[in-house]
Amino acid sequence: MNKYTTVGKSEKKVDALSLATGSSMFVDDFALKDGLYCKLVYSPHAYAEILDIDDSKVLAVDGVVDVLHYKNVKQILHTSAGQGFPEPSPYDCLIFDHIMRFVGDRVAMVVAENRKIAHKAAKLLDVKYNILEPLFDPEKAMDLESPKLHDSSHAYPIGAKYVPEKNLAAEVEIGFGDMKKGEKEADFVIDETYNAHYGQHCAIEPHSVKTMYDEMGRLVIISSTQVPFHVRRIVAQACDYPLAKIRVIKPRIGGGFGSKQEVFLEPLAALVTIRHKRPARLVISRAEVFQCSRTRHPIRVRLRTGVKNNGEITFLEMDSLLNSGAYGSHALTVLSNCGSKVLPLFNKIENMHFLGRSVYTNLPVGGAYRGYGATQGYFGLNQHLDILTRKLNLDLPAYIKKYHIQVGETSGVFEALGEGKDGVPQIINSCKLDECIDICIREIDWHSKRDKKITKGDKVRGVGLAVSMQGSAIPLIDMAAAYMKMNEDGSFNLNIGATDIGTGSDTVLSQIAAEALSVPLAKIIPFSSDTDRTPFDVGAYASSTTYLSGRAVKKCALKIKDQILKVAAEMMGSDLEDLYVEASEVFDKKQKKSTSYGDICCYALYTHKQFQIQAEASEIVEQSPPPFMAQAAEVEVDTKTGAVKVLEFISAVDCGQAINPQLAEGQVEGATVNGISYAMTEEYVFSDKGNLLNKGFRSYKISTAADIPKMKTFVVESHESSGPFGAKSVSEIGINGPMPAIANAIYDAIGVRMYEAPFTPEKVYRAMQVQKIE
Amino acid sequence: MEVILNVNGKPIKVEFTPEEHLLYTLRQNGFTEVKSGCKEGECGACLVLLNGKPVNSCLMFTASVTEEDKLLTVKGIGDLHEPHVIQEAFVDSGAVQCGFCTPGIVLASYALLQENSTPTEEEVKKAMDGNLCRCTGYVKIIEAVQLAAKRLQKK
Amino acid sequence: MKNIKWYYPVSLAEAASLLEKKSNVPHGGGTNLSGRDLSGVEGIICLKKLGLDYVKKDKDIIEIGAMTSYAELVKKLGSISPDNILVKSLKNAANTPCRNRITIGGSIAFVPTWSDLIGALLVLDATLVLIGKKSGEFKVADYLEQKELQDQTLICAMRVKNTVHRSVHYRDVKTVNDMPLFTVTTLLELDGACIKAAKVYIVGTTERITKLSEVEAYIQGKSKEKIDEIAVQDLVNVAFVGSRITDPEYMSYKAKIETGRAIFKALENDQWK
Repeated sequence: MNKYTTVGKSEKKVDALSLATGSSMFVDDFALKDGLYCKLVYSPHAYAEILDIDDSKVLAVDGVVDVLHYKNVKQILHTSAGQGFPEPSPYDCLIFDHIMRFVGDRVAMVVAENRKIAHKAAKLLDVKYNILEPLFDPEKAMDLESPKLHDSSHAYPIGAKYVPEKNLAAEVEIGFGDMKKGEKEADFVIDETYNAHYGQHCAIEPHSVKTMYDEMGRLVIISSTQVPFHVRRIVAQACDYPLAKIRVIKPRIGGGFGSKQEVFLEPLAALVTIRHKRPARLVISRAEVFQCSRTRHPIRVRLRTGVKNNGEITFLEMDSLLNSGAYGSHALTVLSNCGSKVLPLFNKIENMHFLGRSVYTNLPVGGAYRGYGATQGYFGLNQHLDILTRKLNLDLPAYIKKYHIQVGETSGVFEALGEGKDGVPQIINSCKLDECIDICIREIDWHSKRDKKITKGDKVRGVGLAVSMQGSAIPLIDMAAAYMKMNEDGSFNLNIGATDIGTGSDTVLSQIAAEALSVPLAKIIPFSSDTDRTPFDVGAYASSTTYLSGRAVKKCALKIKDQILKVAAEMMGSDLEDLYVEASEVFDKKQKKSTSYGDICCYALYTHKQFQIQAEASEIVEQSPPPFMAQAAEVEVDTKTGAVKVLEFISAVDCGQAINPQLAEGQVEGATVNGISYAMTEEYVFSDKGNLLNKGFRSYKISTAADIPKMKTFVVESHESSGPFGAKSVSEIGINGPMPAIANAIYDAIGVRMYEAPFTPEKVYRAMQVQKIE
Repeated sequence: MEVILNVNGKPIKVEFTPEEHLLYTLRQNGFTEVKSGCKEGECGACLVLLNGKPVNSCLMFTASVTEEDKLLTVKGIGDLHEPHVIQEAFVDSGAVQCGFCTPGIVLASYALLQENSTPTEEEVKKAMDGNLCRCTGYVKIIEAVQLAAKRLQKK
Repeated sequence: MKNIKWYYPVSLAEAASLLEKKSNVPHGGGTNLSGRDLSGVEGIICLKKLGLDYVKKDKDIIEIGAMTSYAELVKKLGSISPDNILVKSLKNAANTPCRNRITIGGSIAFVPTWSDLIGALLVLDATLVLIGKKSGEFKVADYLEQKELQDQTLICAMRVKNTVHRSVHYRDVKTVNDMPLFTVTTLLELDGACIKAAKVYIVGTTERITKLSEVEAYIQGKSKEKIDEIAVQDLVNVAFVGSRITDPEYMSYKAKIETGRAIFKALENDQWK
């Protein structure tokens, strides 16, 4: 039974119709008058020093306006990571460097009147390289004799551990309890290593940016970005340009998933406009997105657990090695989350140690990607639990229910492991994981299928389960703000920095405002993500928007409500305590009269002691209440060829109060299919020289509608009292379960443990050979 | 080169080069609802209807299109003020997230329903095997097409 | 770059004479030319006005115009002869919008290693009608092997016999819209329960196309009960180039398994349609 009028309703997304009719504008839809075309030139070598660039032939081409490279661009160290300032990522990159650190690193940018000229002229760039020995194996990165990719001129702005002489981009170590005691108490130890691999976000819109001077001479950046405010700051920093002169606008965005939580194209386009006083367009190709933008960080996760014969884990040791690629964007924070979002789930473990290291390699650069380290960690943890319970003949679902964190409990990991700073302790307020597990068990028909190895000819079936938690915003670090004003028909403008990247945050935040003000959704006019017109918000990451930006919006709306009540009191001669609000009207229960929102606003704007009913609010949060998720898969394995088919996939999520259930389901469904695709068919293939070989959709396969299994998604509502109307987050968590659930299902079917994905027929077949299963 | 294209029922004179692709020509001439996602015929963001049939405009030479051909973009089946039943069904089903793939998928659905007014779930999935979506996981898109089919039957 | 000139011939004779210039290339509307580097191309001959998109049946011969798209063929041939191996092979090739542009003629002329079409054409003993430097009717197998049949000729039509035998097409793909690593196509003509004539081809091997003659010989004259699947597998010895992600040894092994399966599927009464 829904006690709200708008919250909890599957209201139509405010921009859905304009998107479905093609009238919405994405970055490349904005017409540029007299614009310049930008074409990047990339390094063909994985590791090389540019000895010289001769751009004379390029500049001689009619229609070429400029060539940017290290000789003519200010060398200002920064990070491209779209994070709060000072960023928890090393300042290890330049707009143009003279050291090339991966195949796909940026040598130069040709600026010309049109595409044809730019592409033709780019081929004439004369670059002399001193080719260096590259480093590709992250396990060897810290060896003495390995090539070093960065030097001591690079460093974190926050003073985090950084040892470039060892290619160490980040290191995190936490522990509590007594590991020796844990080892002694264990009856046996399970020691396994799991490898989460490369993946690409594959947002259908490639990274795009357009820059121009407006009619007042301000630099306007229209960018396909998740982080408009970080864009503004980093462009100011990297281009050495006054921040006050920069305006960043985020229009409609064609997907991000973390790939656009990065500021690596905007400074380039900005420089072109700054130098030539003309608009610039920089839209990268699909191949450039695959190779030269950002990837998921591969992480090798080793888990060692001491186990008693009754199932209790006496100690847990996680040793994670993250392959950061050529630069360290998000290297510390993704690494931290591999532990911080995973380890607290099993909080009864008294003795814990987490050592994480991020290392540089001469490979494409890792960045933020939905799940953000938790995905990689859960691939390990969920299989580890499967191994443990099978060894002891325990029921996996019952085991998880017995040992996972519960309402009222905490974990030492929360405080120990933050994101570049200390973590923040928290107590779990809401958790319906048990119900989520029950739904999965029921819907997949667990008990009829588990361990049964149902066989038909050459094909065997199995079922697997995985659980996870994520977070909702970064406590004490992220900030969101909102501004609202009232109009004379009882409608409200809602200006928010929060960034809708297709997630529907414009809608969800409007629903929160509408609920707080007791108005229908149509009375809220959202406007978001313009650094001139909206207040600050960190942007769309860390699953922060509903929880954190939602709290700011609610806080702001309640301030507005206060003002409305005060005006109404004056209008009706009422006592404030006699007033209540319902359906856009203020009622005086004593005098039995009412006045409408419209009348109230007109009074305020025009009649007496005129003022604009308006308010602002900022919010930070003191905790990051996790959503919880259970996911189950049924697979069919071809015992002759190793081909795996995912037959059915169940997801059940506790995201607190779902502000918009349809949008919440949509987030889970999208994340789940992304996770299944990542597990089954996606991989990066490199040549011996570190060149990415499969840089297009023809050779990097993602699921189509015809590939998805039968899917069921359940939104299980709990109530998170710290969240706006009880809400937590939902956008990332769905991607964590598929890979381990499918791996566990494969084991159930054929007794083969998949420590690495994608689970292609060949990989499964080889695993069958190696693990000697017929 | 020059040709008069028939787009969304209206003639439009366009200039283009011999190697130019239809996607580029359309976008240069204001049809920005046709999106560019991969330029190799895999993602379907550039999908338009050529004489009623879905094609990838990124792989078509503009020179292949002659005056008798009829092109349809998503704006040709319905707009913000008079949306098509299919577009409304997408909205109602929650099938639109970032919306970048939506014009192409709406057109693919339109072509399907023109030919087969009662498609099975398998037929719906097959009709959009050339449209990639990373946001929705396709679940609500399939529901939207089935809802549209039902609503069109009622009409 | 010199500007490419487009031609729109309305007769086959006109098209043939345009082909006399080596730097002119024919274009059926498919996806091959538009993805390619066009340096060296001076003229593109657009074939759309030649009236070559048709599927017609003349007694026991089905003739398919070269400009027929995969989608059109699946639809038109599908209504004449729904269990035809051509329909089975092409209905899942590429993806929906590409199937509306890829033409039969273009596909044969530019046959890629991963073609879904070739296996079907070979098991059907299809012939091609050519004009240009060489004209007449030629076997597809000959066309694929002899360069002088390919240079400066235009495929006008393809012909196959209108008899439907049991057939199966297997494509080795990762996702539904993937280009197959290899395909297995088999056509079995039965006489009662016995195989009267068998054709089995694998496309995508190191030879590009491999006719599994030994398999064909082994299963000929036998009924399902007399065929040993392991014996079939043992006779499939094909090599693949492989790639960084596909071990050629595994592919050879998989080809054995899938060939055996294709043949048995073709022999199952309720499975081959």
